[in-house]
Amino acid sequence: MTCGDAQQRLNEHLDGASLGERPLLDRHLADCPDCRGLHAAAARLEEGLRLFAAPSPPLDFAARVVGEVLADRRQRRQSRRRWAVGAALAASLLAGVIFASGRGARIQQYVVGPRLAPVVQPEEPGPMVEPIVAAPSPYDLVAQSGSAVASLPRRVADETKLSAWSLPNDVLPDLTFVGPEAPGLDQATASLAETRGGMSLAWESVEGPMRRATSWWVQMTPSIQKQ
Amino acid sequence: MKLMPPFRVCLAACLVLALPPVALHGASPRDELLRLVPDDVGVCVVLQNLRGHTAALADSPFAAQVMTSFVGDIVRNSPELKKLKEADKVLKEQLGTDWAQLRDDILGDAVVMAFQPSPGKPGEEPALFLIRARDAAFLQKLVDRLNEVQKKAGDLKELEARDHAGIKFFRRVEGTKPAYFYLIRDNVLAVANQETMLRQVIDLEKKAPAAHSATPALARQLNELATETPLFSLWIRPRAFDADLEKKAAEAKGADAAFLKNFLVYWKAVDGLALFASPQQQFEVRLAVKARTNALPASARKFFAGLGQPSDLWGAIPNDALFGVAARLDFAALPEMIGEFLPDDARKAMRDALNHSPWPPLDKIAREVLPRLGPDLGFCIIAPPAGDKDWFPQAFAALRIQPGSDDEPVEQTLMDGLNFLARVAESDYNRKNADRVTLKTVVQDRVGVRYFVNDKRFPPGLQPAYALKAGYLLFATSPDVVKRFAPSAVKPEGEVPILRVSLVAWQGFIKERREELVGVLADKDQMTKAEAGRRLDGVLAGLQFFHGVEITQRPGDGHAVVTARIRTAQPLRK
Repeated sequence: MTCGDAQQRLNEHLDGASLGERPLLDRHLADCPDCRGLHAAAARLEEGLRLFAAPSPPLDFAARVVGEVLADRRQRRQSRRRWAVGAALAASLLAGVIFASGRGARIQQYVVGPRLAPVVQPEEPGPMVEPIVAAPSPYDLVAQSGSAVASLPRRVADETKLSAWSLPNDVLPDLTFVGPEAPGLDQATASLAETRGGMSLAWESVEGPMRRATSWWVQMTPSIQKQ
Repeated sequence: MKLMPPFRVCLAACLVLALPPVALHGASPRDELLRLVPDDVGVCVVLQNLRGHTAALADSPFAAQVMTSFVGDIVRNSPELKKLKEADKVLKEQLGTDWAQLRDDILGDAVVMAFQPSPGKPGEEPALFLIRARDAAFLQKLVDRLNEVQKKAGDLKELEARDHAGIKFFRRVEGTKPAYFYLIRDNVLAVANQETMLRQVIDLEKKAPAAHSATPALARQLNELATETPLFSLWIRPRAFDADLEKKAAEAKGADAAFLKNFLVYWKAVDGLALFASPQQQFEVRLAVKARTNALPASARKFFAGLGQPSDLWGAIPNDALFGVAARLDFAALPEMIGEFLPDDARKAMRDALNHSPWPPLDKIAREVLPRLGPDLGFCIIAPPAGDKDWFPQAFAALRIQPGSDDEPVEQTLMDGLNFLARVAESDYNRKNADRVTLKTVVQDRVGVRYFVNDKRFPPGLQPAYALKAGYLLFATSPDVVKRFAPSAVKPEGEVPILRVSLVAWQGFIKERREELVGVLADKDQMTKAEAGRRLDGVLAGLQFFHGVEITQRPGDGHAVVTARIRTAQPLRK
């Protein structure tokens, strides 16, 4: 028996097979310190594994699995809509701009179809009036306006069911080819993976200040607190 | 703060009238603000001519198309739009204005935001917000009104007048927020988070009053990179980030240190980065990089040298391609360029891995062919001809191979290696699957084309093929695509194309192949054909607003501008 045979037996044994005829193997192990060491280590591993208590699933295991599956499905659905949201964002912003521009009435002439609601003519900006301190605070409304602008694209995407991003994925067949491994390429990509830490440090240097700047500018928007 | 007394209005009017005409027309609103921005800021955002852009967009054929479509219907009936209208009403009640007036009279000319990064002091970085209003009196009145409302509501805790160089400014404390400082000079409002920053603004204003001064340095740099007046500009001054990057590079170890050290070489070669967004006839986003190319490493100069020329592959990519991308990059320089970002041992490991494959045919390819790859590289997807029995989109990927000599027949080496890999793939697939794939050969005009056939597994029209044709290594969805492949030199005309997506072609493809696509969608996503049909119709409904997307590159003297252009079905301008 060769070292290769002995190690093959060992691999198969670790996968659950019997070690088979022992005399040949034992003879080889008696002569070969390397293989003897490997087999001894495997025996220790097996012994250690036997001492482990059988793992029992946590109490909420089933709920978590179901939750994660649902979350994964949601995420897949969202990623399909990502492109659509981008397209819808442009359309919604445009609609927002048109609303804010007070040109809604002019657009109304193009509107067709029975489901369309008439566009309200925005009022002309009036002259300055005296402060109405007791009036309801605009705080909530301003906050809601922000979330409204943010959620409009999603609404448009949801209602139009755009799923262009998913189309190429759906159309292209699964051509995954599992061929023999090329160890050299693994090594090359492993070397490249080492640059990730540096990239992230460099990105932080630029992204951090940009994020802080954005945060400050957003804070600068005059806020009218709840009265 | 009180309303501007009449005598101050008169004084302001007299001052304005006393200025020579050039002062009234000499500088754009944007430049009026940029001259108040200190030179050492790291980030600067400019919003200009919001009023004009909004008006043009609202009156555009594109807006009309969107608003008369189902999207307009959805938006008009959305609860979000109702909320916006309510907010507008309250704004009018509280501040005596509305969004439209705010946008046109306050934000409509120019808005500038500037920020100065300070490594190690993330909470204390100076920031500045500048507004150039169209109506100075309205600006003053609005600020007074806001102060009044907030004071009465108890939100404005402190409002303290201060003075610098004879100019009054205010310290403002709102609720539990940190104090900030503001100043109104004619129709300019300046707000800063630090008193020193606002004092700097006052000093700059006194140093170069009105529009007499030359174009500010920042404005000159933006003008250099932007061809027109963009609605949105973001300017990044790389030097403001140097200290932090250098500190990180000094503290880092191993692979991180090697990466950061080399990254700094690239970073220091860049003098400015800018991003512009603007609705013109179509929507454009531009990324501009101003760099000293002679400061870049030799490998990077070599790798990017061809980018200024359009790839010949554009001659093989039709205008109505569903997707096309092609560029000229010197791949022979790529391993060296990437290797410079790695520590010595990792660089050696990568070089060894590339130069010594465990399979002899590939080992030869690595040694002989890798240095001859490029510079043209491209990929293209085309819709099958209308009426064709095969519905699967046609595609090819092509990479130019520099010819070898008689002594070094590179093409033969490459084909030997590919044939070896193809045989391995064929036998591996057939060993693992019940169905069989077969590798066949066809000769087209003295070009040998190898292709795989598997009618059970591949959809109609798909027969993955490869060949060496016209100096290109070509992978295609069928031998027919290889046959039609004919690259030709493209005459450079200003912008160099990099990527193009024809959304009109996508619409045509989906309409033409609806039945087959519905079947594939239903099968893949486990849904009914009716549902799959609805999804496809949704795609078509969204695509109707767009004509296509393209990315181009415009090389210039010491700078490069990459433009992403979204072509809408209807123009964004009348």
